[in-house]
Amino acid sequence: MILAHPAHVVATASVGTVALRVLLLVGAAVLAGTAVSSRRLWTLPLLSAPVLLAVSGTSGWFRVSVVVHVAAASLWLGCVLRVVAVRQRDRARVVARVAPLAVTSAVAVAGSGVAQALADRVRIDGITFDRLVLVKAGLLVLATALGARAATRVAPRSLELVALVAAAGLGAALIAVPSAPPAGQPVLTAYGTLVPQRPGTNYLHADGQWQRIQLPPGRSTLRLSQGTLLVDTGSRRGLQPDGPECATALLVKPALTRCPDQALDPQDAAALTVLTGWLHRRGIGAVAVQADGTARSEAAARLLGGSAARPEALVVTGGWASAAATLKRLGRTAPAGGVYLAPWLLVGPLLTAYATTAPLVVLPFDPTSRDALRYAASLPAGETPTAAGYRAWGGATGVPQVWATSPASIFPSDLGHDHWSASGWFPGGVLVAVASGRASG
Amino acid sequence: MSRRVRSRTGKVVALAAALVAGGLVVQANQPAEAGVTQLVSKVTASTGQVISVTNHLTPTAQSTLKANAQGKRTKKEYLLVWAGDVNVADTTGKAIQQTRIAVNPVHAVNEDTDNAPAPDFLAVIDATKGSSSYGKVVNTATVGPIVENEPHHMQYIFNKGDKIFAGGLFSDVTYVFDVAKLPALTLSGTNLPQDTLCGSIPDAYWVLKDHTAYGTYMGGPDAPGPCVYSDGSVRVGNGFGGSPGEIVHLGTDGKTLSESPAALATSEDPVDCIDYPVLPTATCANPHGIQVREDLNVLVASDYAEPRNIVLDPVKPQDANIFRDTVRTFDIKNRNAPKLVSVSHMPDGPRKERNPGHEEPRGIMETTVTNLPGHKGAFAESMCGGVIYYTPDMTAKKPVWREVFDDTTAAKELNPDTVEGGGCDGGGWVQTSLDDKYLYHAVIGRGPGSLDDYDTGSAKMVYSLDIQKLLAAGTRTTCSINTISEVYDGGHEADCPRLASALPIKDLTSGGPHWGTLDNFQLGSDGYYHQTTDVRRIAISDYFVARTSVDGDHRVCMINVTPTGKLSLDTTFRDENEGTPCVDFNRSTWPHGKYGNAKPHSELFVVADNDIR
Repeated sequence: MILAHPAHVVATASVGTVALRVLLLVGAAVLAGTAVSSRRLWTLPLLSAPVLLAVSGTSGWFRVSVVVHVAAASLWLGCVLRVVAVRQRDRARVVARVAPLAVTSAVAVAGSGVAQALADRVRIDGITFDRLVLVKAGLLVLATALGARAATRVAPRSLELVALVAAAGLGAALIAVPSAPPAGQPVLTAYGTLVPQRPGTNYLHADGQWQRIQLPPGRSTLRLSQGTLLVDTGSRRGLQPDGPECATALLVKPALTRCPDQALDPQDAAALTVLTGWLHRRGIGAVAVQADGTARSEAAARLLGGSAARPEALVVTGGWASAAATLKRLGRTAPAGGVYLAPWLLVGPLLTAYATTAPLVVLPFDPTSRDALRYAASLPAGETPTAAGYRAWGGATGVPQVWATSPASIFPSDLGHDHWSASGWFPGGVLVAVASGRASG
Repeated sequence: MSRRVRSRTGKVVALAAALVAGGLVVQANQPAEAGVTQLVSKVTASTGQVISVTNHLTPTAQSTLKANAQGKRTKKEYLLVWAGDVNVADTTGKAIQQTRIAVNPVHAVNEDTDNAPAPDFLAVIDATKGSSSYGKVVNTATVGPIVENEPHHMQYIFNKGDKIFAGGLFSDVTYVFDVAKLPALTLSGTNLPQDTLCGSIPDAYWVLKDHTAYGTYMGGPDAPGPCVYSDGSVRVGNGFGGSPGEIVHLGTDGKTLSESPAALATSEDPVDCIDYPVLPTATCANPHGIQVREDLNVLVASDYAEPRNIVLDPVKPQDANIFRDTVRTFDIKNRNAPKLVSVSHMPDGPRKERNPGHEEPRGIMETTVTNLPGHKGAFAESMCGGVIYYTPDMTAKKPVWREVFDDTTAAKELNPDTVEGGGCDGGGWVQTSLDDKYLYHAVIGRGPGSLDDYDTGSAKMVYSLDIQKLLAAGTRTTCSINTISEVYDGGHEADCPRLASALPIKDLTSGGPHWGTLDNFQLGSDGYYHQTTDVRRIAISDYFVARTSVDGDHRVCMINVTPTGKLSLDTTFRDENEGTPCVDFNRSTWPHGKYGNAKPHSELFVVADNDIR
């Protein structure tokens, strides 16, 4: 699945925001660490301050490593500050007291830091983020060395403290620097969702527009009109998406082996059969079938019995692009018996753009069901659910139903009184089941 | 204190801290307010689906029910508010990790993707004057399992023995509630999309003396093509949310008793009546408002707009006619078969708007009828045009409608500098007083700059008009707003309505007051409620939904009315959380849980039958 690492999401933090974050985090770490290093258990919750600041936007195991890393670094800082703060003659006693905690903390910092560097795929010859991580690691190594030297000679530890504070500040500032994307997986970038991020054909989806892009294996810099993007396609080629519909399926199932338009799924076939029966019961026997030469579309057209000479209704079985072209040609006119879309054409933007044709859609699943809404909610922000994506996600199906579709905003929007429906499957629109495969309509 | 004691103390403190933290996490997941009890009522719909309403009764409501059960009834009056969950969420900033506007807001809302959208509900608010819980929400009755209904309107007024008919604009569902056990509600029935094949988008209801109801279904048949109505007639429609709409007769159990066409069998003017897609017989039949005079056997319905296509830019001249200019009257001698008698186009007024969508007759949203025997008049109002129309005789085969008031006349009382007063001012609810003396009207208004940088805005208000002279003139009325000076001054004819009162409704959002209802109950000296024509209170709802913002004014306010039609805000009707006038539906917690903001769209004063004499 896609991304939990915040560095992959838009990193547009301003200088001021970064500076504030550095100050807050380092300050909280110093205060909390100093308090806790006094070994008074009641001060333990104070560590939550720097931890909460640091974990914002993280999740999963990465969050666990951040919690360990920041808590341990705070303790280490606190221990050193405690030593620096006392008088020379008390220093040895304090060092003896805090040393076990400081050493344990340093080990925890090192361990969690290595884990995060591996998760971020830091390379020695890497990007800016990688280099900054290495600098931070260097500062921590320096702090350790200075600490060990000071321990044997009971010397001032101010240099160690400076190195630690510098490392902490650098760590806090890293949020403003994007790390390398995960190789070979769909990824949410600063310029849209990139699917599947593998060598060969990829699609970048942003602001409703799909852009087809060819990428080489491994890391490369993609130059877009909006800016540059670091990508890492890995080495495995995998399935090449043949269009945005396939991209939406790859988004949720990178291991997909076949694009949806390459075969007619049995459940979609069953839905089309239900549609045919329902139209017959309504007295509509003559239908025109729109197809576009793809394997799925041709199979659907054969199932529907081909196009009639004097059609009363139109069934659209092509892919997104050909369906859009067909609906656009219809404009404000439509056969009296209506326009019906195959299941794979449940795409919000398509329904909105060509609402003047008042299409209905037959589906083998319920887009208002809990499962369908869970799928929609699992998508990155900016992504609209699709039937192909839902199937790839493994969504539940049921008795086929015919659904009416309609954009729905009853009042003029400039009065601010529009009944705006924010349904995930059809933003700004309504999906209502009007006939079921169980009963006649 | 010894070292051992200090060590033990520290461990205890740490354990306590952990327990508190865990408890807070658990508490955050509690669904409903403490002390709230649930009471469920279910019905099986025609499709076999089980529909339910779940009452979430606060301790106050429980006390009332307990007293009622013990025979110690406390006579209470309630305000029912039909409200929808705010779909565009109470999202937290933490959930939004990127700067682009989310096309799919569901992701932003549901961090825990197992959470379903929140339910829509009927709020039961204590509206008993002088009650210690005046203004408090004592019950939220949530409907399920259908979500995102977009709760819209109920009937205009409640009479003893009536059920409550409440529509879901987008779900195409009508819910029928029983209020005999107030403050608890039970479900009497439901009407699903499959039960009204010839119409969609239910809007408003009128309950008859036999307690059945008419509903206006503004949109076309569920599927495009010919649809056969209950009387055997056929009309060709262009599908769900399109045209033509219909009149549905509903039983007290929600069953469809009949579906009657609102459209003529022949084509109306195809230029005036634009349909998307084009229909072989053009029609403007998209009934929205509905009121009835059973003594005259007349039903009046106002056509607002083809619902599906309002997203289109109404600035283009050819699209302005999507906002209809027609009012229809029906003969209801046969209550189960309303027959279309007349289709009247409201006349254009003297204003010349830059935006043709703001001309006077655009978007006839609501209608209201006179009440007293001897009066045969009816009114209609335009939402986009911002004016009031009147016909002195709704029983005529060809009723004559004239513009009798421009909202600009009322707006100028609150803002003399208004530039475009009536046009696009969002007029909504319109209602005659039950004694036919006054006409009340809610106007959403516009904030400054709404239309363009030079727009001074238009007043957000509720106003009342003295209509006594107009009604007294009968069919001899001469009132007509047909000169430009009358737009600002009011009608020059002596029988024109006069502004009795204009009450500004403060609303800093781009929304304002849309709907209202009359309080037709008064507590008598016998301790029971009596239905009255002397209305001294009205309630209004301020509804606003923005496309990109989660803030809005979702308030329900109480307005006092004097015998001379003067309006004033009832400042004792206060929000139980904020302590300020009006009940705020922007709140975090409801009796049914922490579901955040809700959209109050319509309201109704109700009293349990046992408390009415």
